[in-house]
Amino acid sequence: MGIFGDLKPEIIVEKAIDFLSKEGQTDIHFNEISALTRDFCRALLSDLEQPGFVTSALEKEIADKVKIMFAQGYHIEVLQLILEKILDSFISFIREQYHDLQLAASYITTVRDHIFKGTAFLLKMALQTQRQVIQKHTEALMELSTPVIPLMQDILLLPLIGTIDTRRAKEIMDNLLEGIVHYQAEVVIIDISGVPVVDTQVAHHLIKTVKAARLLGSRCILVGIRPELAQTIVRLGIDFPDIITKNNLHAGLEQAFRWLGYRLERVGHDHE
Amino acid sequence: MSSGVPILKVDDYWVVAVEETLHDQSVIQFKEELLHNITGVAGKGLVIDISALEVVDSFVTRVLIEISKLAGLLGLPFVLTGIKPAVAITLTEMGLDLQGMATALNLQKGLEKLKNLARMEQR
Repeated sequence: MGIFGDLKPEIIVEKAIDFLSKEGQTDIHFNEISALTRDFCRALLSDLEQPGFVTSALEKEIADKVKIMFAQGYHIEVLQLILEKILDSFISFIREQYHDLQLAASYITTVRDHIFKGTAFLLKMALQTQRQVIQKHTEALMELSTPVIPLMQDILLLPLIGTIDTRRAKEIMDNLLEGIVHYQAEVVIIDISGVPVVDTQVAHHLIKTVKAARLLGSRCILVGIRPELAQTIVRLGIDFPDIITKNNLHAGLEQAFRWLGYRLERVGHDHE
Repeated sequence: MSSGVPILKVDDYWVVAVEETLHDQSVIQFKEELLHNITGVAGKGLVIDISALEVVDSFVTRVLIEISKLAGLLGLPFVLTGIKPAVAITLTEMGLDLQGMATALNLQKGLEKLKNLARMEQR
Protein backbone atom coordinates (compact mmCIF):
# COMPACT_ATOMS: atom_id res chain seq x y z
CA MET A 1 0.00 0.00 0.00
CA GLY A 2 1.51 3.33 -1.04
CA ILE A 3 1.39 6.73 0.45
CA PHE A 4 -1.59 7.82 -1.58
CA GLY A 5 -3.57 4.62 -1.45
CA ASP A 6 -7.01 6.21 -1.44
CA LEU A 7 -6.15 9.39 -3.37
CA LYS A 8 -8.14 9.87 -6.59
CA PRO A 9 -6.65 11.81 -9.51
CA GLU A 10 -9.82 13.91 -9.61
CA ILE A 11 -9.11 15.29 -6.16
CA ILE A 12 -5.66 16.45 -7.19
CA VAL A 13 -7.01 18.00 -10.39
CA GLU A 14 -9.76 19.79 -8.47
CA LYS A 15 -7.24 21.18 -6.08
CA ALA A 16 -4.84 22.23 -8.85
CA ILE A 17 -7.64 24.03 -10.66
CA ASP A 18 -8.67 25.64 -7.42
CA PHE A 19 -5.13 26.95 -7.01
CA LEU A 20 -5.13 28.22 -10.56
CA SER A 21 -8.38 30.12 -10.25
CA LYS A 22 -7.21 31.63 -6.96
CA GLU A 23 -4.30 33.09 -8.89
CA GLY A 24 -6.75 34.61 -11.34
CA GLN A 25 -5.88 32.34 -14.25
CA THR A 26 -9.28 32.61 -15.85
CA ASP A 27 -8.13 32.51 -19.43
CA ILE A 28 -7.32 28.82 -19.20
CA HIS A 29 -10.25 26.64 -20.15
CA PHE A 30 -10.21 24.16 -17.36
CA ASN A 31 -12.48 21.60 -18.96
CA GLU A 32 -10.14 21.06 -21.85
CA ILE A 33 -7.07 20.85 -19.72
CA SER A 34 -8.49 18.90 -16.79
CA ALA A 35 -8.74 15.75 -18.91
CA LEU A 36 -5.03 15.95 -19.65
CA THR A 37 -4.25 16.79 -16.04
CA ARG A 38 -6.35 13.86 -14.82
CA ASP A 39 -4.53 11.43 -17.08
CA PHE A 40 -1.23 12.85 -15.97
CA CYS A 41 -2.18 12.51 -12.28
CA ARG A 42 -3.41 8.97 -12.80
CA ALA A 43 -0.12 8.02 -14.44
CA LEU A 44 1.73 9.78 -11.66
CA LEU A 45 -0.16 7.93 -8.94
CA SER A 46 0.29 4.55 -10.56
CA ASP A 47 3.96 5.35 -10.96
CA LEU A 48 4.24 6.18 -7.26
CA GLU A 49 2.71 2.79 -6.50
CA GLN A 50 4.80 0.95 -9.05
CA PRO A 51 7.65 2.74 -10.83
CA GLY A 52 7.62 3.03 -14.60
CA PHE A 53 5.79 6.17 -15.63
CA VAL A 54 6.55 6.12 -19.35
CA THR A 55 5.71 2.46 -19.79
CA SER A 56 2.22 3.17 -18.63
CA ALA A 57 -0.61 2.57 -21.04
CA LEU A 58 -1.60 6.17 -20.53
CA GLU A 59 1.44 7.35 -22.42
CA LYS A 60 -0.22 7.39 -25.81
CA GLU A 61 -3.36 8.95 -24.44
CA ILE A 62 -1.37 11.72 -22.82
CA ALA A 63 0.62 12.28 -25.99
CA ASP A 64 -2.61 12.60 -27.99
CA LYS A 65 -4.05 15.07 -25.50
CA VAL A 66 -0.90 17.15 -25.62
CA LYS A 67 -1.19 17.21 -29.39
CA ILE A 68 -4.80 18.38 -29.21
CA MET A 69 -3.87 20.99 -26.66
CA PHE A 70 -1.27 22.47 -28.98
CA ALA A 71 -3.58 22.30 -31.94
CA GLN A 72 -5.95 24.46 -29.89
CA GLY A 73 -3.21 27.00 -29.44
CA TYR A 74 -2.01 26.45 -25.88
CA HIS A 75 1.56 27.19 -25.02
CA ILE A 76 4.17 25.36 -23.03
CA GLU A 77 3.76 28.00 -20.30
CA VAL A 78 0.26 26.71 -19.59
CA LEU A 79 1.57 23.19 -19.21
CA GLN A 80 4.26 24.37 -16.86
CA LEU A 81 1.73 26.29 -14.76
CA ILE A 82 -0.49 23.26 -14.39
CA LEU A 83 2.37 21.01 -13.39
CA GLU A 84 3.39 23.54 -10.77
CA LYS A 85 -0.13 23.48 -9.37
CA ILE A 86 -0.23 19.69 -9.35
CA LEU A 87 2.90 19.69 -7.23
CA ASP A 88 1.28 22.23 -4.92
CA SER A 89 -1.82 20.04 -4.59
CA PHE A 90 0.24 17.01 -3.68
CA ILE A 91 2.16 18.98 -1.12
CA SER A 92 -0.96 20.31 0.52
CA PHE A 93 -2.45 16.80 0.54
CA ILE A 94 0.65 15.35 2.20
CA ARG A 95 0.66 18.15 4.76
CA GLU A 96 -2.94 17.36 5.68
CA GLN A 97 -2.33 13.62 5.93
CA TYR A 98 1.03 13.40 7.62
CA HIS A 99 1.89 15.45 10.62
CA ASP A 100 5.33 13.97 11.06
CA LEU A 101 7.41 16.65 9.41
CA GLN A 102 10.31 14.42 8.44
CA LEU A 103 8.06 11.81 6.87
CA ALA A 104 6.09 14.50 5.00
CA ALA A 105 9.29 16.03 3.69
CA SER A 106 10.56 12.70 2.34
CA TYR A 107 7.19 12.04 0.65
CA ILE A 108 7.21 15.48 -0.90
CA THR A 109 10.68 14.83 -2.30
CA THR A 110 9.48 11.56 -3.84
CA VAL A 111 6.48 13.22 -5.42
CA ARG A 112 8.58 16.08 -6.69
CA ASP A 113 11.02 13.74 -8.36
CA HIS A 114 8.19 11.90 -10.03
CA ILE A 115 6.59 15.09 -11.22
CA PHE A 116 9.89 16.24 -12.69
CA LYS A 117 10.18 12.98 -14.53
CA GLY A 118 6.64 13.32 -15.83
CA THR A 119 7.27 16.92 -16.78
CA ALA A 120 10.25 15.94 -18.86
CA PHE A 121 8.05 13.44 -20.67
CA LEU A 122 5.29 15.95 -21.27
CA LEU A 123 7.71 18.58 -22.52
CA LYS A 124 9.25 16.06 -24.89
CA MET A 125 5.79 15.34 -26.28
CA ALA A 126 5.04 19.04 -26.54
CA LEU A 127 8.26 19.83 -28.35
CA GLN A 128 7.79 16.91 -30.69
CA THR A 129 4.30 18.14 -31.54
CA GLN A 130 5.54 21.64 -32.09
CA ARG A 131 8.32 20.44 -34.34
CA GLN A 132 5.83 18.51 -36.44
CA VAL A 133 3.65 21.60 -36.80
CA ILE A 134 6.62 23.72 -37.86
CA GLN A 135 7.69 21.08 -40.37
CA LYS A 136 4.23 21.02 -41.89
CA HIS A 137 4.11 24.80 -42.14
CA THR A 138 7.53 24.97 -43.74
CA GLU A 139 6.47 22.51 -46.40
CA ALA A 140 3.26 24.40 -47.08
CA LEU A 141 5.21 27.63 -47.34
CA MET A 142 7.66 26.09 -49.80
CA GLU A 143 4.84 24.99 -52.04
CA LEU A 144 3.15 28.36 -51.97
CA SER A 145 6.12 30.57 -52.15
CA THR A 146 7.62 30.30 -55.60
CA PRO A 147 5.03 30.65 -58.32
CA VAL A 148 6.20 31.37 -61.84
CA ILE A 149 3.40 33.01 -63.79
CA PRO A 150 3.28 33.05 -67.58
CA LEU A 151 1.88 36.55 -68.12
CA MET A 152 1.67 36.25 -71.86
CA GLN A 153 3.67 34.86 -74.75
CA ASP A 154 7.37 35.29 -74.02
CA ILE A 155 6.84 37.06 -70.68
CA LEU A 156 7.10 35.42 -67.26
CA LEU A 157 6.30 37.04 -63.93
CA LEU A 158 8.11 35.97 -60.78
CA PRO A 159 6.47 37.61 -57.78
CA LEU A 160 8.66 37.13 -54.73
CA ILE A 161 6.91 37.29 -51.39
CA GLY A 162 8.43 36.88 -47.96
CA THR A 163 11.90 36.46 -46.62
CA ILE A 164 14.38 34.78 -48.92
CA ASP A 165 16.94 32.47 -47.38
CA THR A 166 19.47 30.28 -49.14
CA ARG A 167 17.14 27.31 -49.35
CA ARG A 168 14.31 29.33 -50.82
CA ALA A 169 16.66 31.13 -53.17
CA LYS A 170 17.75 27.80 -54.61
CA GLU A 171 14.13 26.75 -55.02
CA ILE A 172 13.29 30.04 -56.70
CA MET A 173 16.20 29.69 -59.12
CA ASP A 174 15.28 26.11 -60.02
CA ASN A 175 11.62 26.98 -60.53
CA LEU A 176 12.37 30.05 -62.60
CA LEU A 177 14.85 28.29 -64.90
CA GLU A 178 12.47 25.38 -65.41
CA GLY A 179 9.70 27.90 -66.11
CA ILE A 180 11.81 29.76 -68.65
CA VAL A 181 12.56 26.57 -70.56
CA HIS A 182 9.00 25.31 -70.31
CA TYR A 183 7.37 28.52 -71.55
CA GLN A 184 10.35 29.54 -73.75
CA ALA A 185 10.08 32.97 -72.21
CA GLU A 186 12.34 35.72 -73.42
CA VAL A 187 11.65 38.19 -70.63
CA VAL A 188 11.27 37.62 -66.92
CA ILE A 189 9.87 40.28 -64.63
CA ILE A 190 10.98 39.75 -61.04
CA ASP A 191 8.77 41.63 -58.59
CA ILE A 192 10.42 42.00 -55.19
CA SER A 193 7.85 44.37 -53.66
CA GLY A 194 6.82 41.54 -51.32
CA VAL A 195 10.30 40.92 -49.98
CA PRO A 196 10.62 42.63 -46.57
CA VAL A 197 14.40 42.68 -46.28
CA VAL A 198 17.12 42.63 -48.90
CA ASP A 199 20.56 42.05 -47.44
CA THR A 200 23.79 41.14 -49.20
CA GLN A 201 22.81 37.48 -49.12
CA VAL A 202 19.45 38.01 -50.84
CA ALA A 203 21.02 40.37 -53.36
CA HIS A 204 23.66 37.78 -54.14
CA HIS A 205 20.99 35.18 -54.78
CA LEU A 206 19.03 37.57 -56.98
CA ILE A 207 22.09 38.39 -59.05
CA LYS A 208 22.88 34.71 -59.46
CA THR A 209 19.34 33.95 -60.57
CA VAL A 210 19.43 36.77 -63.11
CA LYS A 211 22.78 35.59 -64.46
CA ALA A 212 21.58 32.01 -64.82
CA ALA A 213 18.45 33.21 -66.62
CA ARG A 214 20.62 35.25 -68.94
CA LEU A 215 22.65 32.14 -69.78
CA LEU A 216 19.46 30.47 -70.92
CA GLY A 217 18.78 33.44 -73.15
CA SER A 218 16.18 35.35 -71.13
CA ARG A 219 16.39 38.92 -69.99
CA CYS A 220 15.31 39.90 -66.49
CA ILE A 221 13.72 43.07 -65.25
CA LEU A 222 13.77 43.74 -61.53
CA VAL A 223 10.76 45.70 -60.34
CA GLY A 224 9.13 46.79 -57.09
CA ILE A 225 12.10 48.06 -55.12
CA ARG A 226 10.53 49.98 -52.24
CA PRO A 227 12.16 53.25 -51.08
CA GLU A 228 13.44 51.79 -47.80
CA LEU A 229 14.71 48.79 -49.70
CA ALA A 230 16.57 51.03 -52.13
CA GLN A 231 18.13 52.80 -49.15
CA THR A 232 19.32 49.54 -47.62
CA ILE A 233 20.74 48.39 -50.92
CA VAL A 234 22.67 51.64 -51.35
CA ARG A 235 23.81 51.68 -47.72
CA LEU A 236 25.07 48.11 -47.93
CA GLY A 237 26.93 49.02 -51.10
CA ILE A 238 25.24 46.27 -53.08
CA ASP A 239 25.65 46.71 -56.78
CA PHE A 240 23.25 45.13 -59.22
CA PRO A 241 25.64 44.93 -62.15
CA ASP A 242 23.81 45.59 -65.36
CA ILE A 243 20.48 44.33 -64.09
CA ILE A 244 17.64 46.39 -65.41
CA THR A 245 15.42 47.81 -62.70
CA LYS A 246 12.10 49.58 -63.03
CA ASN A 247 10.12 51.18 -60.28
CA ASN A 248 6.96 49.15 -60.69
CA LEU A 249 5.42 46.23 -62.48
CA HIS A 250 3.79 48.52 -65.02
CA ALA A 251 7.09 50.06 -66.07
CA GLY A 252 8.64 46.62 -66.20
CA LEU A 253 5.91 45.38 -68.48
CA GLU A 254 6.36 48.35 -70.77
CA GLN A 255 10.08 47.62 -70.98
CA ALA A 256 9.33 43.99 -71.83
CA PHE A 257 6.92 45.13 -74.55
CA ARG A 258 9.57 47.40 -75.99
CA TRP A 259 12.11 44.57 -76.14
CA LEU A 260 9.68 42.16 -77.73
CA GLY A 261 8.33 44.74 -80.14
CA TYR A 262 4.80 44.71 -78.74
CA ARG A 263 2.64 47.80 -78.45
CA LEU A 264 -0.30 48.12 -76.15
CA GLU A 265 -3.03 50.03 -77.83
CA ARG A 266 -6.53 50.92 -76.74
CA VAL A 267 -8.89 50.40 -79.61
CA GLY A 268 -12.09 51.35 -77.87
CA HIS A 269 -14.46 50.55 -75.08
CA ASP A 270 -16.42 47.36 -74.85
CA HIS A 271 -19.82 48.59 -73.66
CA GLU A 272 -21.69 45.45 -72.86
CA MET B 1 40.40 12.58 -87.25
CA SER B 2 37.39 14.77 -86.96
CA SER B 3 35.48 15.89 -83.88
CA GLY B 4 32.22 14.52 -85.27
CA VAL B 5 30.36 17.76 -84.72
CA PRO B 6 28.54 18.84 -87.89
CA ILE B 7 29.22 22.41 -88.92
CA LEU B 8 26.47 23.52 -91.28
CA LYS B 9 25.77 26.62 -93.25
CA VAL B 10 22.18 27.76 -93.70
CA ASP B 11 21.75 30.81 -95.87
CA ASP B 12 24.48 33.06 -94.60
CA TYR B 13 24.63 31.64 -91.11
CA TRP B 14 26.86 29.03 -89.58
CA VAL B 15 24.83 26.55 -87.52
CA VAL B 16 26.42 24.08 -85.16
CA ALA B 17 24.44 21.61 -83.05
CA VAL B 18 26.58 19.82 -80.51
CA GLU B 19 24.98 16.45 -80.01
CA GLU B 20 27.07 14.61 -77.49
CA THR B 21 29.32 15.43 -74.60
CA LEU B 22 32.67 16.60 -75.88
CA HIS B 23 35.95 15.35 -74.51
CA ASP B 24 38.83 17.73 -74.08
CA GLN B 25 40.55 16.50 -77.22
CA SER B 26 37.46 16.62 -79.41
CA VAL B 27 36.63 20.12 -78.13
CA ILE B 28 39.95 21.41 -79.37
CA GLN B 29 39.48 19.50 -82.60
CA PHE B 30 36.04 21.05 -83.01
CA LYS B 31 37.39 24.54 -82.40
CA GLU B 32 40.02 24.07 -85.08
CA GLU B 33 37.49 22.79 -87.58
CA LEU B 34 35.09 25.59 -86.83
CA LEU B 35 37.78 28.21 -87.14
CA HIS B 36 38.94 26.73 -90.40
CA ASN B 37 35.39 26.83 -91.76
CA ILE B 38 34.35 30.30 -90.73
CA THR B 39 37.51 32.15 -91.73
CA GLY B 40 37.37 31.10 -95.35
CA VAL B 41 33.79 31.92 -96.21
CA ALA B 42 31.91 35.10 -95.52
CA GLY B 43 28.99 34.67 -93.12
CA LYS B 44 26.56 36.80 -91.19
CA GLY B 45 26.65 34.95 -87.94
CA LEU B 46 27.30 31.81 -85.95
CA VAL B 47 24.94 29.82 -83.72
CA ILE B 48 26.10 27.01 -81.49
CA ASP B 49 23.29 24.96 -79.95
CA ILE B 50 24.14 22.93 -76.88
CA SER B 51 20.62 21.85 -75.91
CA ALA B 52 21.70 18.19 -76.06
CA LEU B 53 24.37 18.70 -73.43
CA GLU B 54 23.44 17.77 -69.86
CA VAL B 55 26.92 18.57 -68.59
CA VAL B 56 29.22 21.39 -69.58
CA ASP B 57 32.56 21.42 -67.80
CA SER B 58 34.88 24.35 -67.28
CA PHE B 59 37.12 23.37 -70.17
CA VAL B 60 34.27 23.32 -72.67
CA THR B 61 33.11 26.64 -71.23
CA ARG B 62 36.57 28.09 -71.76
CA VAL B 63 36.63 26.93 -75.35
CA LEU B 64 33.17 28.38 -75.93
CA ILE B 65 34.34 31.72 -74.56
CA GLU B 66 37.40 31.47 -76.86
CA ILE B 67 35.18 30.76 -79.86
CA SER B 68 33.04 33.75 -78.96
CA LYS B 69 36.11 35.98 -78.86
CA LEU B 70 37.49 34.55 -82.10
CA ALA B 71 34.15 35.13 -83.80
CA GLY B 72 34.22 38.67 -82.45
CA LEU B 73 37.68 39.21 -84.00
CA LEU B 74 36.40 37.92 -87.31
CA GLY B 75 33.43 40.26 -87.08
CA LEU B 76 31.03 37.36 -86.92
CA PRO B 77 28.07 37.79 -84.52
CA PHE B 78 27.83 34.76 -82.23
CA VAL B 79 24.90 33.33 -80.23
CA LEU B 80 25.01 30.35 -77.87
CA THR B 81 21.64 28.61 -77.56
CA GLY B 82 19.88 25.91 -75.58
CA ILE B 83 21.72 26.04 -72.26
CA LYS B 84 19.90 23.76 -69.82
CA PRO B 85 18.85 25.02 -66.38
CA ALA B 86 21.17 22.60 -64.60
CA VAL B 87 24.06 23.75 -66.76
CA ALA B 88 23.20 27.42 -66.14
CA ILE B 89 23.11 26.84 -62.40
CA THR B 90 26.47 25.07 -62.44
CA LEU B 91 28.05 27.80 -64.52
CA THR B 92 26.81 30.58 -62.23
CA GLU B 93 27.89 28.62 -59.16
CA MET B 94 31.35 28.37 -60.72
CA GLY B 95 31.28 32.11 -61.28
CA LEU B 96 31.28 31.83 -65.07
CA ASP B 97 28.67 34.06 -66.57
CA LEU B 98 30.05 33.71 -70.10
CA GLN B 99 31.23 37.31 -70.11
CA GLY B 100 28.60 39.09 -72.12
CA MET B 101 28.14 36.30 -74.62
CA ALA B 102 24.81 36.46 -76.43
CA THR B 103 22.49 33.59 -75.55
CA ALA B 104 19.07 32.47 -76.70
CA LEU B 105 16.54 29.88 -75.60
CA ASN B 106 16.66 27.78 -78.76
CA LEU B 107 18.13 27.59 -82.22
CA GLN B 108 15.15 29.39 -83.78
CA LYS B 109 15.43 32.33 -81.40
CA GLY B 110 19.19 32.36 -81.80
CA LEU B 111 18.87 32.75 -85.57
CA GLU B 112 16.26 35.48 -85.10
CA LYS B 113 18.65 37.28 -82.81
CA LEU B 114 21.41 37.11 -85.42
CA LYS B 115 19.08 38.36 -88.12
CA ASN B 116 18.08 41.27 -85.90
CA LEU B 117 21.72 42.12 -85.33
CA ALA B 118 22.40 42.02 -89.06
CA ARG B 119 19.40 44.26 -89.70
CA MET B 120 20.57 46.76 -87.11
CA GLU B 121 24.03 46.85 -88.65
CA GLN B 122 22.59 47.63 -92.06
CA ARG B 123 20.88 50.73 -90.75
